[in-house]
Amino acid sequence: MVPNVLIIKNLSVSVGDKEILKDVTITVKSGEVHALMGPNGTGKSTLAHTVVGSVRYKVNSGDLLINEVNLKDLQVYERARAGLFVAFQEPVSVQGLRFINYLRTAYSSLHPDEKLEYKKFVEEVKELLKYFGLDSSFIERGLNDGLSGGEKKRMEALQMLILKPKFIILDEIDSGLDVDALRVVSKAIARAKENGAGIIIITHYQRILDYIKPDFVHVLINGRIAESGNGDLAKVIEERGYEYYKGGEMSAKIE
Amino acid sequence: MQRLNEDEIDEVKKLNEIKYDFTTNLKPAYQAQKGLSRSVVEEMSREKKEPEWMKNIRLKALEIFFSKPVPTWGPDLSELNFDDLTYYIRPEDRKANNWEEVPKEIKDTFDKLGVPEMEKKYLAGSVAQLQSEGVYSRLKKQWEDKGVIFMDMDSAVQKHPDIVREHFGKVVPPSDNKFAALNTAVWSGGSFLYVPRGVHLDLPVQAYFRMNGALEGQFERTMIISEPGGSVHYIEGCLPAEELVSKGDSFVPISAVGVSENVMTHSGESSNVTRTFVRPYDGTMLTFVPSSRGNAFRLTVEHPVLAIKRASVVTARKLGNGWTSVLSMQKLISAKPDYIRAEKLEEGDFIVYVAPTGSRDDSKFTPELLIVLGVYASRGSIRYNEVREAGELVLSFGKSPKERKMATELYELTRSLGEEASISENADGKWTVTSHSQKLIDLCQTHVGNGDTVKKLSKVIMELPPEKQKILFENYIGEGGTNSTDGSLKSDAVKASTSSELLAFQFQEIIARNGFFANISFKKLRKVYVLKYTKDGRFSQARKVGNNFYVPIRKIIRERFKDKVYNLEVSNQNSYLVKGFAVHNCTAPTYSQYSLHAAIVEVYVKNGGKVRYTSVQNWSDNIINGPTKRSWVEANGRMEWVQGSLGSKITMTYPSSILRGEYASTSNLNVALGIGPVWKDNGAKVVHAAPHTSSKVVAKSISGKGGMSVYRGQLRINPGAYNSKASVQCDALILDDISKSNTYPHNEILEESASFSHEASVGKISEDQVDYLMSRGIREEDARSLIVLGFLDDVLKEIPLEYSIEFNKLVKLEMNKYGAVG
Ligand SMILES: Nc1ncnc2c1ncn2[C@@H]1O[C@H](COP(=O)(O)OP(=O)(O)OP(=O)(O)O)[C@@H](O)[C@H]1O
Ligand SMILES: [Mg+2]
Repeated sequence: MVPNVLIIKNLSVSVGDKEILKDVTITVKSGEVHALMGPNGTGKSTLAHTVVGSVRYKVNSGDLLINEVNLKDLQVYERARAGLFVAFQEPVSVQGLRFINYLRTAYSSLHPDEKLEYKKFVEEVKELLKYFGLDSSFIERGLNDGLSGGEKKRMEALQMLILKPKFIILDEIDSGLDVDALRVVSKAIARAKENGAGIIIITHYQRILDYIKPDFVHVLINGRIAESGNGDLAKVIEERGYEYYKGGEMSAKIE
Repeated sequence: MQRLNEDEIDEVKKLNEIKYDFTTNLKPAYQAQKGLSRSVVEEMSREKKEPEWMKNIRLKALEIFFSKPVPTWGPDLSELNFDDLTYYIRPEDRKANNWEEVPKEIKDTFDKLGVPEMEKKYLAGSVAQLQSEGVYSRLKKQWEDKGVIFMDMDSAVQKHPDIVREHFGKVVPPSDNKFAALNTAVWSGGSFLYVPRGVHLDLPVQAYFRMNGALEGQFERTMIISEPGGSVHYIEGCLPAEELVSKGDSFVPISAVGVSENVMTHSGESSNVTRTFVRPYDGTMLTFVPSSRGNAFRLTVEHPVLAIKRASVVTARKLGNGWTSVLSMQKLISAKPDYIRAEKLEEGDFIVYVAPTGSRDDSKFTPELLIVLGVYASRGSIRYNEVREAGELVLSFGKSPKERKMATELYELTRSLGEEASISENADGKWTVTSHSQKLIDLCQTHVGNGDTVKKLSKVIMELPPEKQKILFENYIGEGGTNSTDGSLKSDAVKASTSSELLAFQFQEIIARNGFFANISFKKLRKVYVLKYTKDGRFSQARKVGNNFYVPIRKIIRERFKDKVYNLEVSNQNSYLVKGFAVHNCTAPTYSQYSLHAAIVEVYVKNGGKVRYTSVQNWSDNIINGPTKRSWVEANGRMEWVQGSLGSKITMTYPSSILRGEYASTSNLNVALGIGPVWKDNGAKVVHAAPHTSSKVVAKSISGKGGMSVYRGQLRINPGAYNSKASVQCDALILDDISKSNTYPHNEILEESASFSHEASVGKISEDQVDYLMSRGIREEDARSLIVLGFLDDVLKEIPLEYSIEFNKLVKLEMNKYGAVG
């Protein structure tokens, strides 16, 4: 099988008048795990939103591709249909929209050729809820409505598994998770990787990376990739902090 | 009350759904002239042979009507000209009391609908009671034994004057408002339901039969009386299956047809949809499989279908020792199809396939262009490069010499049209013609589409003269390749295949317009639709008569069905085509042509009684709808209003409950959709006039595309109504910047021990929510409907499941009516 590839190439993005991402390049192949790290406000979430295709994020230059498909020409939902899934740092809630109804609609939209058997689908979702340590009643709750921070993150991870995307961006999926939750979510990510998804984990912490070792680590400083390296870079960063990159962003060293 | 067994319940449910249409060619015997005066009202009352007291009520109300100004506090009603309205139309049959006197048209209508003899007489008013066998009469008898009275309001005035007189106008006095005064003066039609003491009706009651102007009209008057301890659920509104309906140019699922869209009718001309209906159905569903199996469609048992009974077109012929009946072509061709209830049809009977008539030529479509489009339809695709800026038109051919020849011809043709093209032989010996002409790409994309399973011909093409369409079709099949071709229109047997369902039906229509009936079959394995026909009609068994084809029914499958079903009301023609076959619309009541509807509903809930009144309305958007709905609730009684308002131009409705006795309670759930150039003025009124009374009002409104939604509420807790409880929740969702919502709550809490809460919210759909849903693959318009339905959820979950499903569907339809709401 030819592996799928997500290409983020020389991407510059602005929000309003402000340029936030500058010349960012990351290439993710199926089965790879990349970690994206960097101080608060450097543009990690901006990258996630840009890939999603929110209109607020304006691509000034560069390319976004899944295989040969140019995501820039696609609407948000078409990008999802091309295989993209982004778990947001702050998932929004929709009052009254029952989770199962939403999820079923999403699934049928993403996999139009499959005939969805509702009963089986519900069973599968219930099983996953259990896996993530969530109550089966969540199935009928309004989408993210009234969920705690950690519960929302687990629900995002659940969707990541059920919707079977080709590429996954997880924006701080680990923040707000308790120890046990972090373990299952990490296991879930490993499962997605085994299923052949290419994954970008945006995180501030080494902890999640202990569970799921990244193949590559990228450091984003002031909207630029200041450094890219293998899995060990994460530990190095934890030790030396981001101070190290101060002033050196222009001459970022790439291994 | 003696309980019905399950079968009986089914039967009754079925009866509940029977909606006859009696509007074919009825000339009203008496029609009041336009405008309103004392003499008009007197004449109307005389015509109806009403008792003096009713005439007096009318006349008094008329005076009040004249004295009251047109309300100016709400929507703009200035275009309403009361002198321009016709106030009363009485059908000829109404007071017929002798079957012989019943006009022929009416009798014919009954026949068309397959109404049993006794029922006809009953319906025509020539017998007072229905004596036929069957559950309906048994139920009616049971009810009658219990003292339940259910009839049209005019009859009730005659037959139960005492009950009517005691209650009429007590809850809604004519002085209440101008519309109420008008209704009281000129009311006609409506239902009368009387539930005696302690009787519980466990099945919802709906108007069974709909007579022309009898049960529905612009000034209906409905009265529901539940005596102490009685209970009933009354459902207002008309409400058959998810099937492809012909719009002339294309076929769409019936569920997606909206008001004011055009559909094809049995005459082969298109006509306007004035109303759409959806209802939950639990009963037998029939699948009609015509000799062309691909045209199989489903219908509810009572749905009238344009058909010819085989029995009526056979002749006796001597065979061996005995006689047998054989089909007489002569008889078939001269037979006149009639509307026959689906359940009355048998295998072998004929149904009518209608080829649309009328065409509109477009000189842009030259024979050359039609050839290209035909070839493209069969073997073409458009490929776009990565940036989707420039596309490439690719036509693939095989490697046989014939294919090569065709490829060359097409290449030359394209060049002769002045368009860029190239031809090449592939490594495998197959041929490809490619063009980068933006003009050709656009034409193919617009008029044929891209993608084998979704190709469909444009409206313009479907309207071209049949001769031109023939060119396209001939070139579709003429070129082998993906089509296994036995020949073309010129030869005797023609076969074409496509993996697009729509294209298959469109070609069937084109072929029909050229005088032949093609059978469609679906090959499951290859997922293709195959059209076949011969000039002599060997395969199809269909007979051509004018622009119709009489097609025999091969098989009828009956199955249990539990889901929602749809129906359309079509102006002028009262019919539409399902997969090309003509069926009648359920009811085509003339009332939707009226611009003003001012019904009155008066409900009396006596001690410990319970009434639920559910209405879901989807009027066409030329209507001003201003019903006055009100209930009077005595001690321990309960009144539940459930109301969904979707269509109409202006709606002003505020169902109200007057809680007159201790522990009386009411709930009022109201959903209004104000999308497009409409004004929804909805609300609720509650008066707590006794201690320990409770009320709950939940109103949800949605405004979009310039719509205006208003909540107008009035809540009053009288002094002395101690320990009463009231809650009002009104939420508005505004979909865009040009739409509005207003809330005018008017609360008077005059009793200190009462508890009262009022919550109101106005919200918008946040773009983050839409983005989130879209990021999970959901289209923008679907994302918006999901958010809207979520907003309505706490009301929808309060109504019976089948109705909430219905509502869901209607909301989606309504939102899509004006395109994506954004
Ligand atoms: N919609 C927006 N409007 C205005 N400013 C924005 C918007 N989105 C992002 N920004 C700004 O862009 C910068 C990058 O924000 P972003 O959310 O991408 O940071 P981050 O790297 O994800 O930070 P954190 O680690 O805190 O999540 C910040 O300065 C932020 O204020
Ligand atoms: Mg962030």
